[in-house]
Amino acid sequence: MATFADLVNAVQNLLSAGAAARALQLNSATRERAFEAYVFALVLRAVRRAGGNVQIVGAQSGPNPNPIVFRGNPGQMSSRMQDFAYARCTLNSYDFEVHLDVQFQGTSGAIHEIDVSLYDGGRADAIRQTGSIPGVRHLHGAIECKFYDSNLGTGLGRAFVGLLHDCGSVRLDSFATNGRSQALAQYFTQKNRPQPFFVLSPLRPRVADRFVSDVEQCLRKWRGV
Amino acid sequence: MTVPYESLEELFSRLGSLGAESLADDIRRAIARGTLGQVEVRPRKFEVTQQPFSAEAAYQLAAGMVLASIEPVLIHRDLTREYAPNDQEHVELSWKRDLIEGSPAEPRTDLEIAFPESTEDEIDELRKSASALACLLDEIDNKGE
Repeated sequence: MATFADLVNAVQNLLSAGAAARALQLNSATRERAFEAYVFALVLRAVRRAGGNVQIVGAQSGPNPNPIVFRGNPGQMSSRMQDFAYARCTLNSYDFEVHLDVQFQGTSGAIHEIDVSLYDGGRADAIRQTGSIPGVRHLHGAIECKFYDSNLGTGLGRAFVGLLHDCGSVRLDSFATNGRSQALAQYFTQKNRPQPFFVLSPLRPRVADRFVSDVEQCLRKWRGV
Repeated sequence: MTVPYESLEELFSRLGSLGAESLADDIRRAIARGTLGQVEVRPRKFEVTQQPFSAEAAYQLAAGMVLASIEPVLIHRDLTREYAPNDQEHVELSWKRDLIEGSPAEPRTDLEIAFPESTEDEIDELRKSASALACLLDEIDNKGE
Protein backbone atom coordinates (compact mmCIF):
# COMPACT_ATOMS: atom_id res chain seq x y z
CA MET A 1 0.00 0.00 0.00
CA ALA A 2 1.39 3.42 -0.99
CA THR A 3 2.43 5.69 1.85
CA PHE A 4 3.02 9.42 1.96
CA ALA A 5 6.76 8.76 2.20
CA ASP A 6 6.54 6.73 -1.05
CA LEU A 7 4.89 9.68 -2.74
CA VAL A 8 7.57 12.12 -1.56
CA ASN A 9 10.29 9.74 -2.72
CA ALA A 10 8.67 9.35 -6.14
CA VAL A 11 8.47 13.13 -6.59
CA GLN A 12 12.10 13.51 -5.53
CA ASN A 13 13.16 10.79 -7.97
CA LEU A 14 11.31 12.50 -10.78
CA LEU A 15 12.87 15.87 -10.03
CA SER A 16 16.32 14.29 -9.88
CA ALA A 17 16.03 12.89 -13.41
CA GLY A 18 18.48 14.54 -15.79
CA ALA A 19 15.89 16.02 -18.14
CA ALA A 20 13.45 17.14 -15.41
CA ALA A 21 14.81 20.66 -14.95
CA ARG A 22 14.58 21.38 -18.68
CA ALA A 23 11.09 19.84 -18.88
CA LEU A 24 9.91 22.13 -16.08
CA GLN A 25 11.08 25.24 -17.99
CA LEU A 26 8.47 24.88 -20.72
CA ASN A 27 6.15 27.87 -21.02
CA SER A 28 2.40 27.43 -20.71
CA ALA A 29 1.82 27.79 -24.47
CA THR A 30 4.18 24.88 -25.17
CA ARG A 31 2.49 22.71 -22.57
CA GLU A 32 -0.99 23.46 -23.88
CA ARG A 33 -0.10 22.93 -27.53
CA ALA A 34 1.67 19.65 -26.75
CA PHE A 35 -1.40 18.35 -24.96
CA GLU A 36 -3.65 19.37 -27.87
CA ALA A 37 -1.33 17.60 -30.32
CA TYR A 38 -1.50 14.51 -28.11
CA VAL A 39 -5.32 14.52 -28.17
CA PHE A 40 -5.22 15.11 -31.95
CA ALA A 41 -3.03 11.98 -32.30
CA LEU A 42 -5.42 9.95 -30.14
CA VAL A 43 -8.35 10.98 -32.35
CA LEU A 44 -6.43 9.81 -35.43
CA ARG A 45 -5.75 6.51 -33.65
CA ALA A 46 -9.51 6.17 -33.08
CA VAL A 47 -10.22 6.81 -36.78
CA ARG A 48 -7.80 4.00 -37.74
CA ARG A 49 -9.28 1.66 -35.14
CA ALA A 50 -12.74 2.31 -36.58
CA GLY A 51 -11.38 1.13 -39.94
CA GLY A 52 -10.74 4.53 -41.45
CA ASN A 53 -7.77 5.90 -43.38
CA VAL A 54 -5.73 8.84 -42.12
CA GLN A 55 -3.27 10.99 -43.98
CA ILE A 56 -1.45 13.99 -42.56
CA VAL A 57 -1.52 16.86 -45.05
CA GLY A 58 0.42 20.13 -45.05
CA ALA A 59 -1.54 23.15 -46.25
CA GLN A 60 1.32 24.08 -48.62
CA SER A 61 3.26 20.87 -49.16
CA GLY A 62 0.47 18.31 -49.40
CA PRO A 63 0.51 14.72 -48.04
CA ASN A 64 3.06 13.50 -45.48
CA PRO A 65 4.79 16.78 -44.66
CA ASN A 66 8.10 16.87 -42.85
CA PRO A 67 8.28 18.86 -40.66
CA ILE A 68 4.72 18.58 -39.44
CA VAL A 69 3.71 22.11 -38.51
CA PHE A 70 0.97 22.61 -35.93
CA ARG A 71 -0.69 25.91 -35.12
CA GLY A 72 0.87 27.73 -32.19
CA ASN A 73 -2.32 29.71 -31.67
CA PRO A 74 -5.90 29.48 -32.93
CA GLY A 75 -6.15 30.39 -36.60
CA GLN A 76 -7.89 29.96 -39.91
CA MET A 77 -8.62 26.66 -41.59
CA SER A 78 -7.67 28.30 -44.90
CA SER A 79 -4.43 29.84 -43.65
CA ARG A 80 -1.40 29.31 -45.87
CA MET A 81 0.92 31.51 -43.81
CA GLN A 82 2.69 28.31 -42.78
CA ASP A 83 2.52 24.68 -43.87
CA PHE A 84 -0.08 23.97 -41.20
CA ALA A 85 -0.95 20.31 -40.91
CA TYR A 86 -4.33 18.65 -40.68
CA ALA A 87 -5.48 15.06 -41.07
CA ARG A 88 -7.52 13.97 -44.07
CA CYS A 89 -9.62 10.96 -43.08
CA THR A 90 -11.93 8.57 -44.89
CA LEU A 91 -14.36 6.38 -43.02
CA ASN A 92 -16.96 4.26 -44.80
CA SER A 93 -16.44 6.31 -48.01
CA TYR A 94 -16.98 9.61 -46.22
CA ASP A 95 -14.21 12.23 -46.23
CA PHE A 96 -13.64 14.42 -43.22
CA GLU A 97 -10.74 16.28 -41.68
CA VAL A 98 -9.33 16.61 -38.19
CA HIS A 99 -7.92 20.05 -37.36
CA LEU A 100 -6.04 21.59 -34.49
CA ASP A 101 -6.79 25.08 -33.18
CA VAL A 102 -9.12 26.28 -35.89
CA GLN A 103 -11.74 29.01 -35.61
CA PHE A 104 -15.40 28.46 -36.51
CA GLN A 105 -18.36 30.78 -36.76
CA GLY A 106 -21.13 29.67 -34.41
CA THR A 107 -24.86 29.85 -35.12
CA SER A 108 -24.94 33.17 -33.24
CA GLY A 109 -22.28 34.59 -35.55
CA ALA A 110 -19.65 34.53 -32.79
CA ILE A 111 -16.20 33.15 -33.60
CA HIS A 112 -15.12 30.13 -31.56
CA GLU A 113 -11.76 28.44 -31.26
CA ILE A 114 -11.99 24.67 -31.17
CA ASP A 115 -8.92 22.78 -30.01
CA VAL A 116 -9.55 19.58 -31.96
CA SER A 117 -12.29 19.63 -34.58
CA LEU A 118 -13.78 17.19 -37.09
CA TYR A 119 -15.07 18.84 -40.24
CA ASP A 120 -16.57 17.75 -43.56
CA GLY A 121 -13.82 17.10 -46.13
CA GLY A 122 -15.55 18.58 -49.18
CA ARG A 123 -16.59 21.67 -47.29
CA ALA A 124 -13.03 22.09 -45.96
CA ASP A 125 -11.71 22.09 -49.55
CA ALA A 126 -14.19 24.84 -50.40
CA ILE A 127 -13.15 26.86 -47.32
CA ARG A 128 -9.50 26.67 -48.42
CA GLN A 129 -10.54 28.03 -51.84
CA THR A 130 -12.58 30.96 -50.54
CA GLY A 131 -10.58 31.78 -47.40
CA SER A 132 -13.75 32.19 -45.36
CA ILE A 133 -14.26 31.19 -41.74
CA PRO A 134 -16.01 27.82 -41.60
CA GLY A 135 -19.46 27.70 -40.11
CA VAL A 136 -20.64 24.98 -37.77
CA ARG A 137 -23.12 23.34 -40.12
CA HIS A 138 -20.50 20.85 -41.30
CA LEU A 139 -18.71 20.61 -37.98
CA HIS A 140 -18.96 17.04 -36.69
CA GLY A 141 -16.76 17.01 -33.62
CA ALA A 142 -15.36 19.40 -31.03
CA ILE A 143 -12.89 18.47 -28.32
CA GLU A 144 -11.74 20.90 -25.68
CA CYS A 145 -8.24 20.24 -24.38
CA LYS A 146 -7.02 21.66 -21.11
CA PHE A 147 -3.56 21.30 -19.70
CA TYR A 148 -3.48 20.89 -15.92
CA ASP A 149 -3.01 24.17 -14.09
CA SER A 150 -4.63 26.09 -11.26
CA ASN A 151 -7.42 27.30 -13.57
CA LEU A 152 -8.88 23.83 -14.05
CA GLY A 153 -12.34 24.55 -12.69
CA THR A 154 -16.05 24.66 -13.44
CA GLY A 155 -15.71 27.81 -15.56
CA LEU A 156 -13.94 25.86 -18.30
CA GLY A 157 -16.75 23.34 -18.43
CA ARG A 158 -19.33 26.11 -18.61
CA ALA A 159 -17.44 27.85 -21.41
CA PHE A 160 -17.22 24.63 -23.42
CA VAL A 161 -20.90 23.82 -22.93
CA GLY A 162 -21.70 27.37 -24.09
CA LEU A 163 -19.52 26.89 -27.15
CA LEU A 164 -21.23 23.59 -28.00
CA HIS A 165 -24.61 25.25 -27.62
CA ASP A 166 -23.58 27.66 -30.39
CA CYS A 167 -22.33 24.82 -32.61
CA GLY A 168 -25.61 23.09 -33.37
CA SER A 169 -25.46 19.32 -33.11
CA VAL A 170 -22.00 17.80 -33.23
CA ARG A 171 -21.52 14.04 -33.19
CA LEU A 172 -18.51 14.04 -30.94
CA ASP A 173 -17.99 16.35 -27.98
CA SER A 174 -15.44 15.69 -25.27
CA PHE A 175 -13.52 17.58 -22.66
CA ALA A 176 -9.98 16.25 -22.23
CA THR A 177 -7.45 17.21 -19.59
CA ASN A 178 -4.34 15.70 -18.07
CA GLY A 179 -5.43 17.06 -14.69
CA ARG A 180 -7.96 16.35 -11.99
CA SER A 181 -10.77 18.59 -10.80
CA GLN A 182 -13.48 17.49 -8.43
CA ALA A 183 -15.64 20.53 -9.26
CA LEU A 184 -15.33 20.03 -13.00
CA ALA A 185 -16.03 16.30 -12.72
CA GLN A 186 -19.18 17.17 -10.78
CA TYR A 187 -20.20 19.70 -13.46
CA PHE A 188 -19.97 17.09 -16.23
CA THR A 189 -22.10 14.53 -14.40
CA GLN A 190 -25.25 16.37 -15.53
CA LYS A 191 -27.19 14.82 -18.41
CA ASN A 192 -26.36 16.01 -21.95
CA ARG A 193 -23.00 17.44 -20.94
CA PRO A 194 -19.86 16.49 -22.89
CA GLN A 195 -17.94 13.39 -21.96
CA PRO A 196 -15.01 14.39 -19.71
CA PHE A 197 -11.65 12.64 -19.64
CA PHE A 198 -9.40 13.40 -16.69
CA VAL A 199 -5.72 12.44 -16.24
CA LEU A 200 -5.47 11.73 -19.98
CA SER A 201 -1.76 11.18 -20.46
CA PRO A 202 0.79 8.96 -22.18
CA LEU A 203 1.71 7.85 -18.64
CA ARG A 204 -1.75 6.36 -18.19
CA PRO A 205 -2.33 4.06 -21.18
CA ARG A 206 -5.63 2.78 -19.81
CA VAL A 207 -7.15 6.25 -19.69
CA ALA A 208 -5.79 6.99 -23.18
CA ASP A 209 -7.26 3.73 -24.43
CA ARG A 210 -10.63 4.57 -22.92
CA PHE A 211 -10.56 7.93 -24.71
CA VAL A 212 -9.65 6.31 -28.04
CA SER A 213 -12.39 3.68 -27.60
CA ASP A 214 -14.96 6.35 -26.81
CA VAL A 215 -14.06 8.35 -29.94
CA GLU A 216 -13.96 5.15 -32.01
CA GLN A 217 -17.47 4.13 -30.89
CA CYS A 218 -18.73 7.59 -31.66
CA LEU A 219 -17.21 7.47 -35.17
CA ARG A 220 -18.62 3.99 -35.79
CA LYS A 221 -22.09 5.08 -34.77
CA TRP A 222 -21.86 8.24 -36.87
CA ARG A 223 -20.65 6.55 -40.07
CA GLY A 224 -22.48 3.24 -39.56
CA VAL A 225 -19.42 0.99 -39.42
CA MET B 1 9.14 10.36 9.54
CA THR B 2 8.00 12.37 6.51
CA VAL B 3 5.97 15.42 7.56
CA PRO B 4 3.51 16.70 4.91
CA TYR B 5 3.93 20.46 5.62
CA GLU B 6 7.70 20.25 5.52
CA SER B 7 7.62 18.10 2.42
CA LEU B 8 5.46 20.65 0.66
CA GLU B 9 7.84 23.49 1.54
CA GLU B 10 10.78 21.37 0.43
CA LEU B 11 9.03 20.71 -2.87
CA PHE B 12 8.47 24.45 -3.48
CA SER B 13 12.08 25.11 -2.63
CA ARG B 14 13.25 22.35 -5.00
CA LEU B 15 11.08 23.68 -7.80
CA GLY B 16 12.58 27.13 -7.19
CA SER B 17 16.10 25.74 -7.41
CA LEU B 18 15.18 24.06 -10.70
CA GLY B 19 13.96 27.38 -12.09
CA ALA B 20 10.29 26.37 -11.96
CA GLU B 21 9.03 29.23 -9.77
CA SER B 22 6.00 29.80 -11.98
CA LEU B 23 4.92 26.18 -11.53
CA ALA B 24 5.41 26.51 -7.76
CA ASP B 25 3.24 29.66 -7.80
CA ASP B 26 0.57 27.90 -9.82
CA ILE B 27 0.55 24.97 -7.40
CA ARG B 28 0.23 27.41 -4.49
CA ARG B 29 -2.77 29.04 -6.22
CA ALA B 30 -4.45 25.67 -6.78
CA ILE B 31 -3.91 24.64 -3.16
CA ALA B 32 -5.14 27.97 -1.81
CA ARG B 33 -8.45 27.55 -3.62
CA GLY B 34 -9.23 24.56 -1.42
CA THR B 35 -11.41 21.62 -2.20
CA LEU B 36 -15.06 20.65 -2.01
CA GLY B 37 -16.32 19.02 1.14
CA GLN B 38 -19.65 18.25 2.75
CA VAL B 39 -20.99 19.37 6.09
CA GLU B 40 -24.01 17.87 7.81
CA VAL B 41 -26.22 20.90 8.51
CA ARG B 42 -29.07 18.79 9.91
CA PRO B 43 -29.32 15.06 10.49
CA ARG B 44 -28.83 13.44 7.05
CA LYS B 45 -28.91 16.85 5.35
CA PHE B 46 -25.57 17.70 3.72
CA GLU B 47 -24.36 20.86 2.07
CA VAL B 48 -21.29 21.40 -0.06
CA THR B 49 -18.60 23.71 1.29
CA GLN B 50 -15.20 24.90 0.17
CA GLN B 51 -12.58 23.53 2.55
CA PRO B 52 -8.82 23.82 2.82
CA PHE B 53 -6.75 20.86 1.69
CA SER B 54 -5.01 18.80 4.32
CA ALA B 55 -1.23 19.08 3.97
CA GLU B 56 -1.13 15.53 2.65
CA ALA B 57 -3.84 16.15 0.05
CA ALA B 58 -2.10 19.41 -0.91
CA TYR B 59 1.13 17.52 -1.52
CA GLN B 60 -0.77 14.99 -3.60
CA LEU B 61 -2.20 17.80 -5.73
CA ALA B 62 1.26 19.34 -6.07
CA ALA B 63 2.72 15.99 -7.14
CA GLY B 64 0.02 15.68 -9.81
CA MET B 65 0.79 19.14 -11.18
CA VAL B 66 4.53 18.47 -11.22
CA LEU B 67 3.90 15.23 -13.08
CA ALA B 68 1.66 16.98 -15.60
CA SER B 69 4.37 19.58 -16.23
CA ILE B 70 6.80 16.86 -17.25
CA GLU B 71 4.40 15.19 -19.68
CA PRO B 72 4.77 17.54 -22.69
CA VAL B 73 8.37 16.44 -23.19
CA LEU B 74 7.23 12.81 -23.26
CA ILE B 75 4.34 13.66 -25.56
CA HIS B 76 6.71 15.41 -27.95
CA ARG B 77 8.97 12.34 -28.13
CA ASP B 78 5.99 9.96 -28.55
CA LEU B 79 4.48 12.01 -31.36
CA THR B 80 7.79 12.27 -33.16
CA ARG B 81 7.88 8.46 -33.19
CA GLU B 82 4.18 8.06 -34.03
CA TYR B 83 4.33 10.28 -37.13
CA ALA B 84 7.63 8.89 -38.42
CA PRO B 85 6.95 6.84 -41.57
CA ASN B 86 9.39 4.13 -40.39
CA ASP B 87 12.15 3.46 -37.84
CA GLN B 88 14.85 4.92 -40.08
CA GLU B 89 13.17 8.18 -41.01
CA HIS B 90 12.81 11.00 -38.56
CA VAL B 91 9.94 13.46 -38.62
CA GLU B 92 10.22 16.88 -37.08
CA LEU B 93 7.33 18.53 -35.26
CA SER B 94 7.06 22.27 -35.00
CA TRP B 95 4.52 24.84 -33.91
CA LYS B 96 4.17 28.14 -35.72
CA ARG B 97 1.95 31.11 -35.22
CA ASP B 98 -1.03 31.66 -37.45
CA LEU B 99 -0.85 35.43 -37.77
CA ILE B 100 -2.47 37.94 -40.07
CA GLU B 101 -0.06 39.43 -42.57
CA GLY B 102 0.67 43.13 -42.11
CA SER B 103 -0.40 43.23 -38.47
CA PRO B 104 0.85 46.39 -36.66
CA ALA B 105 1.98 44.42 -33.61
CA GLU B 106 3.47 41.00 -33.00
CA PRO B 107 3.24 38.76 -29.90
CA ARG B 108 6.02 38.29 -27.36
CA THR B 109 8.71 35.88 -28.46
CA ASP B 110 9.01 34.32 -24.98
CA LEU B 111 5.72 32.57 -25.71
CA GLU B 112 7.23 30.67 -28.64
CA ILE B 113 6.59 26.94 -28.55
CA ALA B 114 9.82 25.01 -28.14
CA PHE B 115 10.98 21.75 -26.61
CA PRO B 116 14.35 21.16 -24.99
CA GLU B 117 16.91 18.86 -26.57
CA SER B 118 17.16 15.60 -24.63
CA THR B 119 18.80 12.27 -25.38
CA GLU B 120 16.84 9.02 -25.64
CA ASP B 121 18.38 7.87 -22.36
CA GLU B 122 17.35 11.05 -20.58
CA ILE B 123 13.80 10.73 -21.84
CA ASP B 124 13.69 7.06 -20.84
CA GLU B 125 14.88 7.93 -17.33
CA LEU B 126 12.29 10.71 -17.10
CA ARG B 127 9.51 8.44 -18.34
CA LYS B 128 10.42 5.71 -15.84
CA SER B 129 10.31 8.10 -12.87
CA ALA B 130 7.16 9.78 -14.16
CA SER B 131 5.39 6.44 -14.68
CA ALA B 132 6.24 5.38 -11.13
CA LEU B 133 4.79 8.62 -9.78
CA ALA B 134 1.66 8.30 -11.95
CA CYS B 135 1.05 4.75 -10.66
CA LEU B 136 1.46 5.89 -7.09
CA LEU B 137 -0.90 8.85 -7.52
CA ASP B 138 -3.52 6.60 -9.11
CA GLU B 139 -3.19 4.11 -6.29
CA ILE B 140 -3.66 6.84 -3.68
CA ASP B 141 -6.55 8.32 -5.64
CA ASN B 142 -8.33 4.97 -5.95
CA LYS B 143 -7.82 4.33 -2.27
CA GLY B 144 -9.57 7.61 -1.48
CA GLU B 145 -12.65 6.81 -3.58
